[in-house]
Amino acid sequence: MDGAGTICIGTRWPARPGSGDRREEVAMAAAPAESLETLDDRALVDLCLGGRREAFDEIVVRHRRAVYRVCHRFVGNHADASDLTQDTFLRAFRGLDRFRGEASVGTWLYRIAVNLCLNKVSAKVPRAEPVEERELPASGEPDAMSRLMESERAARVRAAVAQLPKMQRATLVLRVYEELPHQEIARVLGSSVGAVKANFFHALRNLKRLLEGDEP
Amino acid sequence: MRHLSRDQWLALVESGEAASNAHLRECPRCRAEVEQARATLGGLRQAGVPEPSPLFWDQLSARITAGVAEAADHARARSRGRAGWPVLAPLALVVVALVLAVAVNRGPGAAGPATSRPAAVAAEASGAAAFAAQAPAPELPAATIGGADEGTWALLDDLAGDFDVDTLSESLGTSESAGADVGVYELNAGERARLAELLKTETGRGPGL
Ligand SMILES: [Zn+2]
Repeated sequence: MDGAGTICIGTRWPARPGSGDRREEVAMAAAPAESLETLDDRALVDLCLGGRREAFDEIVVRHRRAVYRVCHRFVGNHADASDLTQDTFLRAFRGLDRFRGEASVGTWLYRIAVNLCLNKVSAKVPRAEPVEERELPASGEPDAMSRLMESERAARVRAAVAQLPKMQRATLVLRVYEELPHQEIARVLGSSVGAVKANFFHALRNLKRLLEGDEP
Repeated sequence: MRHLSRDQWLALVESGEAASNAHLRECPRCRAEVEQARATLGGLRQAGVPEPSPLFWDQLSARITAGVAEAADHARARSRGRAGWPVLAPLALVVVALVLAVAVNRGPGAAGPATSRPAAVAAEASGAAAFAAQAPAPELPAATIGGADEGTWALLDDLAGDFDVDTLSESLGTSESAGADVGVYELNAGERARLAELLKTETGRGPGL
């Protein structure tokens, strides 16, 4: 997820997509479609609030992979990750007028995604990853055996992550895979830096125990 | 010997600077823990998320775009409803008060001429809502109001059925309501027709009502 968001055009935030000042909407609507790719996230949000819905499509294209990845790390399977990714963007669109730009669009999307994931999953009953979703090498492929073992190991790690308590899991995903600083994770999870460090510490210890207990 | 604090332990696990740490050189227990945690972290980082089918991303975007369009339509409909309400609410109260007053006026014992209606409304205002709750649906007051206004009164009468009487009596109170009632009675036929037009537009009701 990129951290774009240094330029802010417009200082007013209309109450709801499409409800802004008419003159502002007309001015924004004049921005040509091909220029959307060159705008930063904040400018896209402004355009969206001015009634340019295709600006939101561009936000989706920029962040869909990162949001999907976080969701998949969290729930451990494609079907739920796909639904959660879709829900994250729809919720973001509906709440666009509440985005104040204090955090980047990326952090804001992470926050929505993680909250949805936290609501969705139960720490006690993780849903197992279907075998058909694992990336299995073709049998004739060179080094197929080592790739198969790698794939198995990765599936085991994902399954172990899915067994962690929810906040530990969220912290681990954001720290290890999205490489967010502790401060940013605290912001996403609505907790303190101390709690983030404690959760990460316990997550690593629990994971070691889970993986050791899982050794074939 | 003082072992590593949690923050020191985390910093060493994440930074990879364990080799240069003085405590770890001397403490096999902490050294082993940090090494194991680093191995766990390495295993985690290698475990990628399976890449979905190449078609997946476009399908996902299409689903989101459709959902966004739907959400935008809902938001527009809601904001249109909200925009109409400030205009409609006072009119609705006036209309309901009017119809109730007409019902009062046409009830048993109401026999005065049309010009005496404002006084009758003022006198009955405090009991109008309670009366309406007990009374049968008011009939068209065509006989007292006049044939030219019949359609307008029919519409106003019909609309009165859309409002909750308890809310209305709370909103109107007792004495303040008389002013609104009297105000409507004092509208001339053209003004009432205009009011009916406004109400038709705001409520989306067809001319057939
Ligand atoms: Zn030690």
